[in-house]
Amino acid sequence: MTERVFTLPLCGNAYLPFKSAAEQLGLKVVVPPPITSETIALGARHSPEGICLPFKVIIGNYLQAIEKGANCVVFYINNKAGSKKHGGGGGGMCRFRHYGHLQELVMRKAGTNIEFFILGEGPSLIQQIKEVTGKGTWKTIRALRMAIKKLRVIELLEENSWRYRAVEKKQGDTTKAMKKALNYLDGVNDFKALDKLDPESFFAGVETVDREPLRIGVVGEFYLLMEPASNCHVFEMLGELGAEVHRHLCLGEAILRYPPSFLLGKLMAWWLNMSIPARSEIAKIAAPYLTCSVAGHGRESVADTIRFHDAGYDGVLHLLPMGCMPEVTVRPILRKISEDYNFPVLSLSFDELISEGAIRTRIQTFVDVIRMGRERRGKDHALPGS
Amino acid sequence: MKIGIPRSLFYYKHPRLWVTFFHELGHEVVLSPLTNRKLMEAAVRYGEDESCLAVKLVFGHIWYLLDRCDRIFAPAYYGLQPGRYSCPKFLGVPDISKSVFDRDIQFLRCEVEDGEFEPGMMHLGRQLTNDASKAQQALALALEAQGAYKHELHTKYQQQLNSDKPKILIVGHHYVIHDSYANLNLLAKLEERSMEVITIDTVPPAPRDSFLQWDFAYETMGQLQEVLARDIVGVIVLSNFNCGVDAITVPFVEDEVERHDIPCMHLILDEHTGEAGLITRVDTFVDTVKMRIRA
Repeated sequence: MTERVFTLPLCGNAYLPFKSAAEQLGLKVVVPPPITSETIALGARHSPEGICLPFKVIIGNYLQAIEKGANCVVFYINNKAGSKKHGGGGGGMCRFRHYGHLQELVMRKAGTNIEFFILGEGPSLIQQIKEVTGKGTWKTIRALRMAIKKLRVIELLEENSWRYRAVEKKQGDTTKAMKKALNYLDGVNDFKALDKLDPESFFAGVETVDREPLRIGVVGEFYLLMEPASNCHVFEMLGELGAEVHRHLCLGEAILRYPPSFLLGKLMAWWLNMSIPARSEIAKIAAPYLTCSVAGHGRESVADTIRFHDAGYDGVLHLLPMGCMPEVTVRPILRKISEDYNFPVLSLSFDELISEGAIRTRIQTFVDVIRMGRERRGKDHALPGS
Repeated sequence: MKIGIPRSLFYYKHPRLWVTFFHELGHEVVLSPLTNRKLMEAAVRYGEDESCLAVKLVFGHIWYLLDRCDRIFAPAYYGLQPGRYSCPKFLGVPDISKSVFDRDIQFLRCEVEDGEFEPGMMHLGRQLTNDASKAQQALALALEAQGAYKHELHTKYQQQLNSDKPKILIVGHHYVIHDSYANLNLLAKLEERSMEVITIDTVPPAPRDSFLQWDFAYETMGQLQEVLARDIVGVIVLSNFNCGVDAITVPFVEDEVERHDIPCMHLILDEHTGEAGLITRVDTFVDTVKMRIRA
């Protein structure tokens, strides 16, 4: 039998901790090359036409990883999510739940011979991981703990980078600092060291100017929030235009909201050391507009748009892949909220044909509109570079 | 009280159930007409641009009912099979309606989970009448009417299997197959070309283990196993543009049909579908099927 070489889909920087964890457990891992328009075109060519963008990008990842020598795929699906109607959310009712099996079919039809390990489908996640790696429970839990912690550090790094980019003196400094930080992080595989790390310290060298940036909240579909290449780098675009960005959901939070099991959920909350609004809280905030779950994070998008408004943000950007079942459903509601609260909401939908130029124009206009609104209200601010 | 039922989505799955139920409870039922041009225009205007045609159409039908009834009925189908669930887009319809029409609309809801109708219908029945036995009776009659409808479908299927004409199977959601305006009368077009048209909803259910979590998809995969074993000469998969469920299901359906070596055509409909284009494709498909029969 040939040696198994694993690969995993890219999802922003979130591949890093899982790669380290897999390596810690003695697996050989090949990371797919960074996503380019070629990756997306490759994935789209082999995927069903009507499937959402994340699926197509992931197929592109696999095909490119195979070229680099991968012969196994690890994918995670949370089959607990969405199972109860009142908590129904996460990837449960939406198409994400079927990604694993459809990927298998598509890869078979594309003529590749690749083995699939779909985690989360069986009764116990840890048991499944053990079967793949052949390592003991304690080692598996330790590797998971390290991965989750690293994920949290990366997400804090990202948050810091969005804050710094909006006020940086020299454009590009933050991006450089971020790259350095990630490089450093790749080598750290110790829970305690990660725990002590101060994510903000990596940005100490970034010179800033004194101005109050615009604050923009980003809601929408989870993959597009995570993977910059799939959203034409809107986060960086906004930062360069002097806007500070906050996303309503990150991978850690998404897992925590719909944990694979109650116990693992509690453990993760402890490792991650973060608190998230309870599902009942989200439901209460969204209730005037949406009284039931529409799968995915549709209800979260509605509630978080209102929460961003209440927290004094200047506007909300809604990202979704074209035809996304939950996000398309809530789009008319976001429009209504925008009207009711007199609050700027821009909804952008992405597919494999979108061009960065088109998105840039719309983002620039959006920022201009918000800025004009702010000027009229007499808030103090300055343009970047002035 | 006048209760409006949009003739779209769930109506095509349970055409008699709800009409009988409300009648028996002593309420007047206002059914929106078959989809027509006016409704289609309203659907395009009020529906979300990236929704599938069927979900747009439900807003067209609700628009028609707005001032014609006191309450609009829109059930919450969480799942019509044990452990499976329905399309999440349906669940949001009442809430979204309030946003798109920008007015307060009174909806009647009935929650159906795991395919169990009784608890939800009883609950709804008690909202509409004070008489518990009347609600119980209406429920029984409604389920009976629906059962009779199912039985008619299966009888039709058995009769069709005995037909001498070449049999074509149509796979798709009930609301796509039976909305003849939206699918440009595809069924009649095939019948005109002397085909026996079997629709997937007439096929008796055949439980089959499947990872597909949507009840439509799950049911279809089971039914396919039953019907593809018969002498089917061609399969037409009918779906709406941007149907999320079909994006996942259709590749598996096509894979299954391919394994039986049966010609398969996937037609995607939207509100712009030109009839000439459809006719060309139907003609070509029928010719392909006939050529294979002769060969």
